[in-house]
Amino acid sequence: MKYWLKILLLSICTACLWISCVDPYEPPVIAEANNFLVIEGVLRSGEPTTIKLTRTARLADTARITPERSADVRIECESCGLDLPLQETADGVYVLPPLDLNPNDRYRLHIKTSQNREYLSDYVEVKQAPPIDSLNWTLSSEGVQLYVTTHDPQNNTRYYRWEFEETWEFRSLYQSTVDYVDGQIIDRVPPTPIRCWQNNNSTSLLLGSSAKLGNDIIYQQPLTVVPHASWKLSTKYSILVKQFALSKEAFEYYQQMKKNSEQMGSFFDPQPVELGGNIYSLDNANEPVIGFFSAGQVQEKRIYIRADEVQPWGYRLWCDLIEVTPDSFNYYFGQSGVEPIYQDLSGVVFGLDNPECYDCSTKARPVQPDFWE
Amino acid sequence: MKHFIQFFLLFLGFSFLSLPAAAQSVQPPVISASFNSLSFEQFVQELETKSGYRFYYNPQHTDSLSISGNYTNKPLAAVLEQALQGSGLEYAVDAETKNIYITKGQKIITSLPAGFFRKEEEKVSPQQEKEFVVDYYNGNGNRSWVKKDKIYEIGKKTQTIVPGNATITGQIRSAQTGEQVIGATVLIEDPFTGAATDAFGNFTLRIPKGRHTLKVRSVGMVSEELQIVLYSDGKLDIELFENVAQLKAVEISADRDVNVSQAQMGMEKINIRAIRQVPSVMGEPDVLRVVLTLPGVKTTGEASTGFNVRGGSVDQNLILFNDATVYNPSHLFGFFSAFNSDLLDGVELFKSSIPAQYGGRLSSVLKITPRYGNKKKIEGKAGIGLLTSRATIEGPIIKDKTSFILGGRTTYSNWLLKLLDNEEYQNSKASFYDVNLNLTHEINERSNLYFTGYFSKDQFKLRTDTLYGYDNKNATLKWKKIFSDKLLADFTGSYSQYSFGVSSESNPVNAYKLAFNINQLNAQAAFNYSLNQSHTLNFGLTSVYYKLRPGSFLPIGEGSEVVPDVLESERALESALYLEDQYDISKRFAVTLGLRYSLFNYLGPKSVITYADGLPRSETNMLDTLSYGSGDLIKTYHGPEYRLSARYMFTPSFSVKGGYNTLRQYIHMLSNTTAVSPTDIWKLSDPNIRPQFGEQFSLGFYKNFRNGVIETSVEGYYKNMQDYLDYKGGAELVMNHAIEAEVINTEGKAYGAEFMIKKLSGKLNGWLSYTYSRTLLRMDDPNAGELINNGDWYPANYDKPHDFTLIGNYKFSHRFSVSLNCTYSSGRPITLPIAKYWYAGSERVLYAERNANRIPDYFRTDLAINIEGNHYLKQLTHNSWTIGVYNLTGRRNVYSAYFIAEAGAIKGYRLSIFGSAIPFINYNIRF
Repeated sequence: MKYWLKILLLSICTACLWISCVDPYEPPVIAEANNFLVIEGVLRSGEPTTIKLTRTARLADTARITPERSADVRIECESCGLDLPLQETADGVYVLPPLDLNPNDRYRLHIKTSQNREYLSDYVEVKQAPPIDSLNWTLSSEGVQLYVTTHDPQNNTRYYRWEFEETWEFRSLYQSTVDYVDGQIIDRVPPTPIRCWQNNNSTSLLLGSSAKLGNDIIYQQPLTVVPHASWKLSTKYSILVKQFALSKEAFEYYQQMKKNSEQMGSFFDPQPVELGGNIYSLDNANEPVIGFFSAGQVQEKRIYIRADEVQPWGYRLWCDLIEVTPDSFNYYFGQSGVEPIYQDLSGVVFGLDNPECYDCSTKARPVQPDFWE
Repeated sequence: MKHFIQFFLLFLGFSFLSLPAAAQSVQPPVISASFNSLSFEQFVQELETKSGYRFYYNPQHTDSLSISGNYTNKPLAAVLEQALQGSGLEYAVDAETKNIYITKGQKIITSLPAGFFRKEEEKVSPQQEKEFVVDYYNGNGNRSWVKKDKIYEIGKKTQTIVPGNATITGQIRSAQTGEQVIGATVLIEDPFTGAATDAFGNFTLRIPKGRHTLKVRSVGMVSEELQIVLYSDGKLDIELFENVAQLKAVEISADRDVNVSQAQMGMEKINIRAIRQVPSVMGEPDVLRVVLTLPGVKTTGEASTGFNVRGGSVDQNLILFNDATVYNPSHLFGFFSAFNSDLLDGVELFKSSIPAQYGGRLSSVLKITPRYGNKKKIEGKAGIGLLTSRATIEGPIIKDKTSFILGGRTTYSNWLLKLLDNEEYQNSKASFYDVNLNLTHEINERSNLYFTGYFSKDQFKLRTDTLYGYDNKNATLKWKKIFSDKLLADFTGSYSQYSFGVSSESNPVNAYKLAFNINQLNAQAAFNYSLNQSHTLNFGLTSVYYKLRPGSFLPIGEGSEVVPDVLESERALESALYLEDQYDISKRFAVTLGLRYSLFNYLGPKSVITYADGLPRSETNMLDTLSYGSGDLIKTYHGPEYRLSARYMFTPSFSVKGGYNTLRQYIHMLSNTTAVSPTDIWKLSDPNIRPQFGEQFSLGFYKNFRNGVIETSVEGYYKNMQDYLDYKGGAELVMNHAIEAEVINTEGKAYGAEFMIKKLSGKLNGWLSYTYSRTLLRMDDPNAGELINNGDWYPANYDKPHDFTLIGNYKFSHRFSVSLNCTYSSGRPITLPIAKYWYAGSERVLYAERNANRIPDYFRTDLAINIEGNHYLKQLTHNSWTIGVYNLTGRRNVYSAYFIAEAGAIKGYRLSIFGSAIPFINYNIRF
């Protein structure tokens, strides 16, 4: 007995201990036809307003979410008597040119779909977001953590939401100036692009509240993390943060939306529940309408981070030049997928097999954004 | 002794008394026979022919017997003795009338006890009374079966004994621990007279004076036979040795047939030895895990605080540790129970007939009985496991009078998490510890004092920088007093505190500390009065004073901008008077009639918001805020609670029971998570929140086979719950100044049938149970506004219709046993999304009906091997090992299925808490 006891002990000591695990889950197919209207957008003061109309889809549907086309979308105000239609500029995207909102008035959204179903929001107050005080970041083992700090001296805002757009520059290490065409090395015109930019929008609901604080201060609210060694910081990174002021109801609505879709999977999950927004169907009071309409001035701020500020970053692009003598051109450039980069005076051509090394447009767009510094 | 009786009887001249001792002249015959698997009937026929005696017996008691054996020239009594061994049957031979009576349980006494006619005889012939010399040394030498040669002399020693009866009183204790032995029997066989010990191990036995063999028996103890000479009234304290080689075990109850014969239904009693044998996570013996295997007890999942009994919510269980309320019985997300098994004696769960003594919760009472220290010598125990370790020390403070036991338990999982090569876990912390101190003092043999103190603390910090912590504090002082043979009383005072806190300091501006606590002072007097043979009364009163601090939100550090916010304290007094009569109408028919009247006073100082009548309780419908001063009665609720049950015994092994119970609950837990978390708040009933009311009808059939070795039962129940509290969608329950506006009254109904087969003794023991049950809830508050699932019935989070459990233990030898635990249950309900949509840069999910779907079914098998060291009584340490595997099949049982947006797209996941087989080992040492 003692012998197998020892064996058992050994095997147990080597076994792992804290074992909770997560597997993909395929839910049972829910047949219910769901095709509810989703309304997203903020009536912006002094800036163009974009309202997006889409439809919900079934969970199993793989197609992109379908836009709601050809609807009549209008902004109405309570006491000024305005009734402004929005123009559909793309499928399901309705735009209103810049409009100065009257902070003492209230506005609402009025939608009539092409199927003649009408939706109306509550009148909402114009919420003016205070300016962003600062965007800052810290470097940790996880990467670059970005924060927003703001305050409202009037102690009036209390509920905030942020969206951001990340843009980053990516540079190829080499530029290909020659090409291999019909057994000949010729000049490449134009040469391959080496400066490209990529961008990305926030995907999670970023909410903050100072309701429990004495002053209306948001201090270092985490926005996002640029993971360590990410290509976003291979050269230069920029983030534009938009700050929205919310009403308490809007904040609660978004917070529940965030819980339902972003905060599940812990041991003690909240009970999922849908909160009604402030947009209602006029034809069927029980029809769920997704979205919360709000109006106000949006504040924006942009910062840049250079790669040299975060060293050591750990991003590495391996580009080893292959030296090709003329007798091997056909083998390398014709058959092996190596691209010629430049030719030296002796006629030897140096090539690269990783396109990222000489053509940044394989990963990003070679067009410099207007704002780029 | 026989001489003495003979002499006595002859002297009295009552020759018509057919005492077996007197009937030596009519010797029963000797038998030579060979039986091979005879039925009892055939056996009796054979014996009747051979002996000329006539048998009287109840065929229902004997139909399952099978008799084998060879006998040559054996006395009839010896044959019967051997044939009936282990059957639970008793025989009585009346040589005078040549009759043999076979009975179950109690032996028929074929004679009147000696001294029965003493009064008359004294009157008739006082002058004939004669003293005689006691010669107890006579024949002593040739009684080789006498284990101990010692002869105990009781009373004032005289050279001669005056015939008549005398009383022996005394106490029976364990020789090892000094613990009083309850329910032990003390008897002499000639004449057959016996007594059982009371709650303090005391007995009183009145028997004829003279020389006797006193037999002392108790479950789990080595039986003793003492030679006594009784001169006059006197005292005899007896010490019994524990049956050391007791690996026996899944013993749900010490008393056979008690499940059939007790009037109560829906009650389960498990002793600590049984608990130790059920395999558990990490090999740590766990009371709550074992309770979860009982029919009718369920949980939302592995990581969930508490348990659900017969469709009740977690807060509807009254968990009592030596009569002090425990608010959170779990450690480490519910993986471990908060009780250290080394300091427990056992648990009792009442899920159907709840004794009138208890109240205040709708579903069940879980009574956890502590163990007290050894009164003889210092002893220690330690257990080492992979995740937890525990140590206990116990011993006398005053020998045989006062003892202590101190135990502690802790985990080193914090250290373990750090070892894992994963940043997320390395930044996590989870730890707990608990400490128990139990004291007992014997004031005198009719009065004892008990003290239990308990403290437990948990802390965890997972992924985020937020630190969670909670603790339980309990203290109880109990005075047990026997006023007379008929009246027994318990006076208990206890204090309980539960508190939790959440704090975060990473952001200096938002640094906060959130705290909640609940304090409870409890006083009760409980009396037990045996009116006569057929009436036993339990009555008493209890009072609980609650003080809740429903929340404080305070800044930490100088830079914090957090505005201190403290919710007003809540106070209340809950009192109850109760009377319960256990009435045996006939031998077959018994009823328990209980009435409890409970009274709840919500007390000031407090401000209470009033709302417009008939409108939803919301901010817009607030009318006024009323301020009450200290001690003001703000609101009173009261009402009767009925606790009725009845039993009809068709045969000693078959009975039918029925019960009706009503209960009221004045304290509620509010939880907005699917699994109950340790940071859920409690709320007292107030002018806006009515108490919960519950009623339960139950019916059960109980049948035992093989003399109670196998117990079977079927119990069905139907339950109604009113004013159970649910909350509005998205409600913020913590730090809410108008929480009544966030809760909605819900009604619930639960019904089910529980089937159980138990085998209590033998090499193979354990139980098998199957439960079908449903629990449905419905929001029925007309003023609620938006209702969950449009006000239709929906299944509760813990509604698992099918539930199958097998607990088995096979004892290969006294030192080696194997335990197996198999559980299957339906998956719990979950709310699945019905659609997805695009919003704020990501796909998101839309939920609709609550709990319309279920997660996959749950199945788990655990195996444990218990190895005891050698059983030499005298050695420095005793060792034992428990080795096993939790979740042997490695099945990834789904704890929750959820959908989460990742990089803009929705993905579905299932979370399994124990995703593989988990081996464990535990080493226990006792010194």
